[in-house]
Amino acid sequence: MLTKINRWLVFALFLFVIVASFVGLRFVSFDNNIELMLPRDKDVLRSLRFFKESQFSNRVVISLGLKSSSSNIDDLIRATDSLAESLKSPLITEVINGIPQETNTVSEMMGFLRYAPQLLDKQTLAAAEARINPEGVKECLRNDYHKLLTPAGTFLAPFIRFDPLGIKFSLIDNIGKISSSFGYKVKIINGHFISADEKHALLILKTPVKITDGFGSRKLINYLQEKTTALPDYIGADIISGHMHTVSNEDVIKKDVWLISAIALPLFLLLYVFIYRNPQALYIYLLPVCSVIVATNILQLIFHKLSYFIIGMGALVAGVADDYGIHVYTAVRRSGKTALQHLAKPMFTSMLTTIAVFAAFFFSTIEGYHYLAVFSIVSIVFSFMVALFVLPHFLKFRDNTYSAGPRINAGFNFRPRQARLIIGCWLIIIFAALVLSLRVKLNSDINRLDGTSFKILQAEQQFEQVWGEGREKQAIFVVQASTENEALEKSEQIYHEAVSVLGRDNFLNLAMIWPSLKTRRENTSNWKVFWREDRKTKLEKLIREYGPQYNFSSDAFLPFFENLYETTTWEGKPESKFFQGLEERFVQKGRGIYQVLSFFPDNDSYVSQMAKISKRHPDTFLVSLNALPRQLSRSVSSDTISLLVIAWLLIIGITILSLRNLKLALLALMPEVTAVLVSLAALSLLGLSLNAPSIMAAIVVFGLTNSYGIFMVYNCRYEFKTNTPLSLFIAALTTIAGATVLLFARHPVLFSIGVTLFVGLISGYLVSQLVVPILYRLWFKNKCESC
Amino acid sequence: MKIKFLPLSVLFCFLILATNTMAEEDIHTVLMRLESKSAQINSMESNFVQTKKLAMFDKPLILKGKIFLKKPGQFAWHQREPMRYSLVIKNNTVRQWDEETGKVQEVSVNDNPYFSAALKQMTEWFSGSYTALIKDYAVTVLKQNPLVLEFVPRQNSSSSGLVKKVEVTFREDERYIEEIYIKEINGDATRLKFTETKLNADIKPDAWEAKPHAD
Repeated sequence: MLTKINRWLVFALFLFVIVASFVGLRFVSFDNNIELMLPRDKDVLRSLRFFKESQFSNRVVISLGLKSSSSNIDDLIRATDSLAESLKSPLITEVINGIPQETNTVSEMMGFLRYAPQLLDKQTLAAAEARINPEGVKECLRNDYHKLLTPAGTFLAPFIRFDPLGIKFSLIDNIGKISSSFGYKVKIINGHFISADEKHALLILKTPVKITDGFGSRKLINYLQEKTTALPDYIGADIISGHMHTVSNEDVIKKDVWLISAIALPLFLLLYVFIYRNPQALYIYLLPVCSVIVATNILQLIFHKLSYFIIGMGALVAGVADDYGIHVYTAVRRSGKTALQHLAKPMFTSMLTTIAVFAAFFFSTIEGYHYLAVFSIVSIVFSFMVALFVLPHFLKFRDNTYSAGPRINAGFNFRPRQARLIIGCWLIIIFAALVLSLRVKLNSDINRLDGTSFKILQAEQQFEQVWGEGREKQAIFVVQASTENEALEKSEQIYHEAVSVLGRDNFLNLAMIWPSLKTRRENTSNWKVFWREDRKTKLEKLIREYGPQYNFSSDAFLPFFENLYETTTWEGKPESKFFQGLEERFVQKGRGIYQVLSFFPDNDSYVSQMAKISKRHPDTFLVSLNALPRQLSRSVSSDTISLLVIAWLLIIGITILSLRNLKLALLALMPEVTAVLVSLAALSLLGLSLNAPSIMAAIVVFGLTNSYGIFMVYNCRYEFKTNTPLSLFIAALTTIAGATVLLFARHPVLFSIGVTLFVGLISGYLVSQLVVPILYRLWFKNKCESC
Repeated sequence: MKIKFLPLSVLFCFLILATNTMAEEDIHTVLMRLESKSAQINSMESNFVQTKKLAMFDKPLILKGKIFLKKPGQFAWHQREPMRYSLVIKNNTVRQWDEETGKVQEVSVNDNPYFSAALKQMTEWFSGSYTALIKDYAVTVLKQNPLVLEFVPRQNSSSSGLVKKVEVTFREDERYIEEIYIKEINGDATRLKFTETKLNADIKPDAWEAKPHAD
């Protein structure tokens, strides 16, 4: 026993830890990076990192729409311009509301086509060769003449003068195709991006804020919401961005944590006050609070960051921590401090099994689970130590004749007929639960865990309808290399392989209009050889001969012949805005690596065919928004199921080692086996599916119900006067109360945890109180009188 | 002498500025008037004669046919001479037919940059939204009764590299265009003249089909 001085030392140390932890809370930093909660799956991480670091993560789109039929497109454009003008903040680096007025599409196209000698391949030159004869030239001239007769003829004239054989038009077609990779269907009206129905305008914003940055996202969204509320009444604005999901999820979790705390804390207080009717019961109430604060500091010291999700989950787990306080309080009140000697062993075994549950989380590839494991283990060990070594010294009772215990115990002295009935019912329930649990489906759809508000999802759906026009989503094929040229070369090689599988129209690659430097040099060399003097002269002669038939003047195609070799010595890139825009879309640089992107329809068939190509090229990978959630879900599910198996094996192992008796261990495991089966049956009856969070909750149910089993087995075997049934009743009641509160959570993660915990804990507790004592009596034949 | 000259020149500058401001205001009033008149028009049907003087051609090219317009956004061009050709724009899609191939070809305006630019130019003058053009063009009144306006692309506007000027002649009642003359920077010129124009008349549904049309 501790001496008086040592006791004060323990108090002082305890107080120091608590005060230091409170002070330490000021220095806790939160990082709501969602990557923390994702498995270390190579493909998943690469895809997510790609999005995080790519052009896609730093874009916010605002869709402005006319709300009133009395307003028109001019009002919409004015509102778009005024909003664009008002967006001045370090959170926004660029605002794009359309094509700049000064962009001259025809001039830009003309400028680009001057690079044709570098861009046209051998096949195109072979096609040109087939046209340099009397019939071919006549046909080309007739086509040119017909084009000039159409209303678009005025604008086609400059193109035709530079291209009598029509060999460069394929490049313009390709520019049209490649531009569709931008994914939006827009009309350009007065230089603005306008929807087909002319009732919506588009603003694209570039931001340095990453979607995984919770705090930055909130600042950005608040800023944008403030600006869009200043729009006229007849204009509505939808903000479409990954940042909205980040903020919404965080809001829902925060609200849930507050709601749970607001309901749970007073509820627990009332439970303690009404059951114990002694102010000292408040110590039990404070114990989990202190353990959470200490664990938060330790987590900060080790990992230097925390997330709301971990704290939310951790606080729930820390609810387990109050059980030790309840056991100690109840035992001391019943039998004085000597009861602690009897309590130490079951408490220690229970702590070991609970730690084992969370230790299993270290086997997960999800980094966040490691945080959760540290958080839970620290709070459990802290609670255990404080409950056993500090709390008893705070407790002072005049007498130890607390009578609630016997009342609860009395219920366990069943007559043989009652015992048979209970065991019969239990077996029927187990059997029914087993049958029902086989029907539970594993749902690995991670989207179901997204707590994003309905309003945001609805806005996104509307955005798709207005701007997507039913277009298929695009998957991305990424080629990486240390230099831009190398990346472009590899990407071009992929392009040729891909079009042979997917077809020319289904794979959009920059090589369609801008091949690698190597190919451009080859093309230039071929062009020079092709247009050797005799071929050029032959074409000039044929055009002079047949041109007049179609009213063409003698110098109609002079620009073509005069500029035949103009760009053959250029090695730079076109300076046109449209080319720069395309290049920005298809080539990106980061961390010294160049990535060249290609786009293709995001459907299973194409994705699997491109995956085969990717396997053949080590520096490439695929990003499919359709496949990513499936990939992610599979990974999360397999990770969580492994945890379940490891946790179960650890619990079984520790229970057997602690009790050193297979029969006793089997008895101690009854509550958890029942709890898991009944939880699965409940999910099946409620039409719910088993998902990663409910598996996590099942692991927690294992730990808790196993403790009930261990305490009851110790109680039956050693007949300690520790009032175990009462302390288990209160411990279960407070935990079940916590789980009940979770049923009110709006976030699907917390809700599914709530259902599993609620059903699992009730069934586990009842089995520990009703079935374990009866089975003990049957198996160990009156070794325990009180059972 | 210099001291006296300075206030005079300043006054002169103010007068010039004031005159220019008045001219801008007048143009705006004229364009508003035209816009309000054209706002009452929902459809138009007319014969056209287009004369193209292109550097590529020895002789001017003369095209004849019929044009149809209906708000919002429907446009049909049925050409009779020198080659039969039809072009219909509806729901952001262009359908073309020509007698050479006898086939109908469908093009999305958005996916075709040169068609998109050409259509922008074509529909700009028929839309009736004249005040919006001030942003891209310097507008002057060349003649009254009938009203003739000159549109010169402003520097850096989308047409500046291509079009030198556009002259638009309105009908006597100013409800619609009678003639458009486009002079390009490279010297090419196009004159489009409308005759027998019917405003707000019922347009037969087959006018919106890209196919051979009878006279």
